[in-house]
Amino acid sequence: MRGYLSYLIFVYLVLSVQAVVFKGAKPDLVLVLVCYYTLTFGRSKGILFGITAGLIMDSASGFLLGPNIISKSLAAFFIGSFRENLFHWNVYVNTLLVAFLSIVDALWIYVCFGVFSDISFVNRSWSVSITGILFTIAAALLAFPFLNPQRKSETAF
Amino acid sequence: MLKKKYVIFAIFLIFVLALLNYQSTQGISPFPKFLLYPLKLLEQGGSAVLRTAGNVVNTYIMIVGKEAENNGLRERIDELEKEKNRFVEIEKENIRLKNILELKSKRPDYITAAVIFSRDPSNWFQVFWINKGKSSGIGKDMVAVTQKGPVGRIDRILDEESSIVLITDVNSSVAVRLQSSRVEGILEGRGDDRCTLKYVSKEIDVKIGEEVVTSGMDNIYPKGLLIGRVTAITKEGGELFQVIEVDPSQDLNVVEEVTILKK
Repeated sequence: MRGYLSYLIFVYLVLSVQAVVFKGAKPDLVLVLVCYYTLTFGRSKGILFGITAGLIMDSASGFLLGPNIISKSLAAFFIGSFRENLFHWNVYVNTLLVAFLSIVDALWIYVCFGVFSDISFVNRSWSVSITGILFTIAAALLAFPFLNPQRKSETAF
Repeated sequence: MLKKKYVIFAIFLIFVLALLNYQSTQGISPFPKFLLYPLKLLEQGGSAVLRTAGNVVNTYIMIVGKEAENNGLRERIDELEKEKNRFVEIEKENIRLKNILELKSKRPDYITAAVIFSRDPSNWFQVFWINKGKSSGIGKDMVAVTQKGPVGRIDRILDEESSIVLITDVNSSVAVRLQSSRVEGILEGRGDDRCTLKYVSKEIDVKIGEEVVTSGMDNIYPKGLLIGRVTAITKEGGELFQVIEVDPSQDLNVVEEVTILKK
């Protein structure tokens, strides 16, 4: 429980970093955090963490409540399922999966706001989305050696 | 057991989709205000910690390796440097506040001045949060400006905080006019640091560097504010209109204070 709460505080911290440090395109550091939490503590706990982190993200943006809850919990579900079925988890698999999930996340948010609100991203410059995804991949690459989820995950799955 | 978990997760996802559908028909749910406080505290605390750390590092660099008899003088220089930095900061703040006061005296539609305390953390919206809200007389769709031009319009309002949707946000549309040709168009945000001017006929001769001002036709932004300059023009074959790229009149990433004007 203490670990879960400290990770939630970390969600606030990365959201602040995103808001303060990055101007323009921003990485999705919460997605990276959800991936590492799932790899470290297992799929079920990861999904729960994804739901809470998504709730915080949606609330901090103050628009629709739900898009990030679904995207982050599904990211945890997918990464947990992949982890269970892959024999060896390494930095390449991790990077590819984070890249894939970033693209799915961006598409989901795009569709979600188009369907469930009067907010449209049709005018949005694609370079912002692409730069954001590249930043997320870079963040996952940088974080991988420090967090090394494989070390702790053996008992979780 | 695992299948039961899947079922619960699937039911939860359906519930969230139903919630999204509810919000699309009934309007967005009430904003949980408490979630803003950590962002506010972290931004203010973070700046203070960075300032203090910078001072400590500077002081350390200044002192290490110096002769003992020079320490007193070095410390004095250090103090004077700090004092100088403080004065530079105060001077800059003074200029910004003078600009706000100038705007206040010039504009009869002045409501209040506010400090930006946070930016939207996601990659999707260009939104600022300011430290003034309903209690300061702020209302929806009021306009945030600086001496250099419009910043955006008020969207969400709490008692002590409000959010501003920037002119560069994809949800922003401003009625504008090209200053020399007097042709009107709609300026829309792109989600990065530029805007696109739409609905200007291909027949119109637009020049790079031409100034774009608000036309006041949207009943939100006051007429005649300089909003940006033309940086690129695209005329595609089958299209009726040309697509004009506009660079905002100010770098919105470095705006610290804004003045709120009546709608």
